[in-house]
Amino acid sequence: MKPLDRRTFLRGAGGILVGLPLLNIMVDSRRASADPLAKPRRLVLWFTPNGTIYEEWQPVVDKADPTKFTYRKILAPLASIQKKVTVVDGLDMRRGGVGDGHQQGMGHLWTGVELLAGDIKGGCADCDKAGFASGPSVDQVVAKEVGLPTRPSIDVGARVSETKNMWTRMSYSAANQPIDPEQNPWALFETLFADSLNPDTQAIARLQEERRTVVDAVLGSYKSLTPRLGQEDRQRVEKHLDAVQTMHTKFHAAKTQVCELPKLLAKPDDKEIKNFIKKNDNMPALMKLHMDIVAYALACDLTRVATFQWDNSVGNTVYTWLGINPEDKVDVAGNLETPGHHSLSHIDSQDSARAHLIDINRWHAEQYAYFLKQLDSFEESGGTVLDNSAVVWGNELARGGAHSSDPAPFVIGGGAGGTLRTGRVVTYDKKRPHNDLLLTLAQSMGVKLSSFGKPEWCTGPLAELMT
Amino acid sequence: MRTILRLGAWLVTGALSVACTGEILSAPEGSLTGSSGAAGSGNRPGTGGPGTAGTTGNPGASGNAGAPPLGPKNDPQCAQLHPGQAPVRRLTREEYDHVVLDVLGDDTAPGDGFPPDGAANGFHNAADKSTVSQLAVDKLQEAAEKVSARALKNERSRVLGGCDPAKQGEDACVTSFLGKTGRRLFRRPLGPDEETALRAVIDWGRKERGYDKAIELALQVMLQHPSFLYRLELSPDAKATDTKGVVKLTGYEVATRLSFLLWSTGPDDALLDQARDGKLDTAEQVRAAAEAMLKDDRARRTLRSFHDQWLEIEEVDYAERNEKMFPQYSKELMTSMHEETSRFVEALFFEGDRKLSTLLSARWSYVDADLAKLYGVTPPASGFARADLGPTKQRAGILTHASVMTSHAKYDRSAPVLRGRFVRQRLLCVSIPDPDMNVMGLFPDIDPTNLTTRQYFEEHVKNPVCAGCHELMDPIGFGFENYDAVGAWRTTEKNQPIDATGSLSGAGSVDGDYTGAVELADKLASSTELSSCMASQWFRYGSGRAETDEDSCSLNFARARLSASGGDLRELLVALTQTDAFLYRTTDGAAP
Repeated sequence: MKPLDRRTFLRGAGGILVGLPLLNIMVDSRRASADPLAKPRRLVLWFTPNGTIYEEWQPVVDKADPTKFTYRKILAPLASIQKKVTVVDGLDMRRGGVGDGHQQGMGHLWTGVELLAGDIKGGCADCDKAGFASGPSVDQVVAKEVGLPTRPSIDVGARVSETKNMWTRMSYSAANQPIDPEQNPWALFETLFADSLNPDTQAIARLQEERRTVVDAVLGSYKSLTPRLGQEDRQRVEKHLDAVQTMHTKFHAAKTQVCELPKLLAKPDDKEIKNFIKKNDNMPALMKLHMDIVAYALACDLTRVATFQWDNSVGNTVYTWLGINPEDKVDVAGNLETPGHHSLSHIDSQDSARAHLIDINRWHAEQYAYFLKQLDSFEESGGTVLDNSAVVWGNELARGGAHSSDPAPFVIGGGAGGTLRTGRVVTYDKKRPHNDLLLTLAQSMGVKLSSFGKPEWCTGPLAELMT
Repeated sequence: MRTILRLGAWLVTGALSVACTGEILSAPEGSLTGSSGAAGSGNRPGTGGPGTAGTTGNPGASGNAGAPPLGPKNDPQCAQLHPGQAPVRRLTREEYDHVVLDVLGDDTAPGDGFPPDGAANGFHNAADKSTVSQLAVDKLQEAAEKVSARALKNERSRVLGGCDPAKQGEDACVTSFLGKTGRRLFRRPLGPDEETALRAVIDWGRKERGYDKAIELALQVMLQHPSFLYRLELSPDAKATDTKGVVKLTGYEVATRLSFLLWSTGPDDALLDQARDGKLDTAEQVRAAAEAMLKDDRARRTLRSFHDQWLEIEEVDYAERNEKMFPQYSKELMTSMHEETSRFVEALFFEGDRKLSTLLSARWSYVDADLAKLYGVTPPASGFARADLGPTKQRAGILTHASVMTSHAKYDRSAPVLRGRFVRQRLLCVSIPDPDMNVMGLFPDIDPTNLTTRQYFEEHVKNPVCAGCHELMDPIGFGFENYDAVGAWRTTEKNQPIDATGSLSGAGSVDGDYTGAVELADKLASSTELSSCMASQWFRYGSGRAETDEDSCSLNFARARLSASGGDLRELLVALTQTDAFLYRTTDGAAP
């Protein structure tokens, strides 16, 4: 256990440095000092692509008692922390509007809305060209409503394509406004912690003052510009204004705070970082770096919302570290493919591909379990950081080969500050749309909403999940 | 032409928007499995922007290639001004890096760490995809701090516009800083409100932190300022020239457009002086400036940037290959092949005949030791040198560059579908729909063990459902089968001789059968469709948007100039600066 109780932080802020290495970190002063024993609730979205092998994902459960269950192969790595996990089985991810299965799945997953018409044709004969999602995702709604104004969310990813489109982005601040995930863990670390590497609190205070001066002027420049622009230009530049406004809030609210630091791999040479990040085989290392950094950031209350995007929809990472040999080509509809994740998912009825896909999804369960245990290792207000979080694992598809979206496989780790029940498998038999889960998550975070996403796709919160 | 029009009809009905292979669908992934990452992640958003097929197939678009140059002056339909749209554009990562290097001497390329720019039509400078995310804005703030600190430390005198506070006084140097560095960054003199806001920051800084820090903070503001990051064309004194609200750009706006188009950076002092002095007010003046700029070394940046994106090779450095199958593969070779294409294009423009036909069919290129080995020619004594590839009879122009072949291949094999699609979309401007996963299962199970790549893909065309799209790509792509997944020449695959016969369609008079990419390249070199497409691609790159009907006069003018000059690409670029689309804009009702 890493004791990182918030009271410790406060002692640190009072001038007593605890543990090494220690950093000064900016957090919202109101939240940091006013109510040290409060339980900040946190939402973490966790994405893996291309569907799962549902038969090995679905736990064996006693219908009469959802707390009596056994995980099958894929979720077995969660067994050691199953008391804090809820498997949400059988939700129906509604489909509609433009785009193909992957496009819709990725766009709908966390937003519960249809895609906008756009300029990208998916892989389907009779569907129209699609654009980005037509509304915000649940993480950003929560970040905006109850997140920290200083850092509403941290969004990271690994193996996410540089090309921005509805396949490669999952989180949206608003309609047509996808969020870019940070893929460079060292840059993420620097962004979150760098100022604080300086133990000189006076110097930090001076730096903050300078930043406030600069951001005031920058904000003013955008405010005076936007009314002069035509409508389309204005819409784009207003997003810039919004982001500067968030930065403004961050610099104006900041006070120093003390945190413990995650230990990272040695940083590669700057010139090598891009190679490192793009290299297929570095996915495990990159994921661990991101998980460690985000776990500490959440424990430190630097943010209350985080998203992890591991690869993207139709991502074709080759899981060489699971013994999948890139030379063992697979026949996908007559096309010889390297055995990447997406290629395999198209032939998930074939035994060897199926075995690989089980391995891949099980490996992701191991990573997810690792992260849950990281959060669980931080004590907080009588429980752990995990207890006050909801870490939601979702996929844009249910089954890769069929490109089906139901039953959508979801797993929740943590009890969201006692608002969600854990240690169970809840089964819906496709009777409830997944928007209901998004609504439940928003409500569990304290957002007062009665519907989420497309109204026709939302029937109300999932009472079975809630305490 | 007939083929193109027919395709256009197909696209409208969607009857053929199906395909039976994951070849394209599975492309957008990382480097190990992607053709190289470039064809994968770069391809998809660019496949068929609005109007792509239609505009190319527009009668007259390519039909007037041999006719006298048409332009606003002598085409009756073009008598009125047709500037098209001019959305506000944001500096790309690359442009940001160039500007901080040119203006502040900062060579750290901070833009590398920014999130990717939005892409459309195959170019990642699309105005309507340039919305920033929070991450981008945070990165811009971090970069502004670092760049400003370095600038004051290393380039203090340059930042202050050559002014020395010890001699000329601190106040004078503030004025010099705002007047010179400010003008470079904002690409025009600062407006009064802008200057007031910056002086307020400087006053605070001088009082609280000292002189240099004050300048540094003001520089931070400038580097995050919309007048720096966005190419704003809001000249307050602009007057509409007609009832449609068409406005002639100011000299500073023209200088900015010229500079980003031809140099991938902001205008320098000389160009800004020309703007100030009214020397960019006429089309003739702009032509003279453009011609001079294309002889400047900074034009190399644009050439690299355009060809990287147009040829879909910018990610080739990160391509991963099966090293057992391709022993020549190394990270260094990937970097070298990228460099080859850049050097070739630069040599063509700066030392060569600048002709489109040479771009396609040159029997020379630039090689280093690794590439010389790959191409079977004598290695240079050191570094890169021009090499005569003619004797090998294996190479002709960009199409056979190892960079292009590797970018359109996979981890362990060639990719005829990607190569065919590349020729169709990027060289002939005909978009091909992405495959339909619902028909992916139509393909019969066959054992690939003893089949060549070609034999394997030929199975596609046997199924009529698949053939609809694949016959547009595969017969072109098969002609490249002599080039393996790292672009090396091969004559056998799986102990069978390579069959490099192909068939070109969609390229007008040069349509027909051919053998090998050298013959294909020579055919394309004289294709009117290619010439027409080339103008479209440069237009898209230069305008940050797809062409619309409003642009047909501008585009036809550029096409005609390219044709009339015998395919001189420099003339094409100059011609683009002479169009309504370049010299004018339409006000869209925003209050100035």
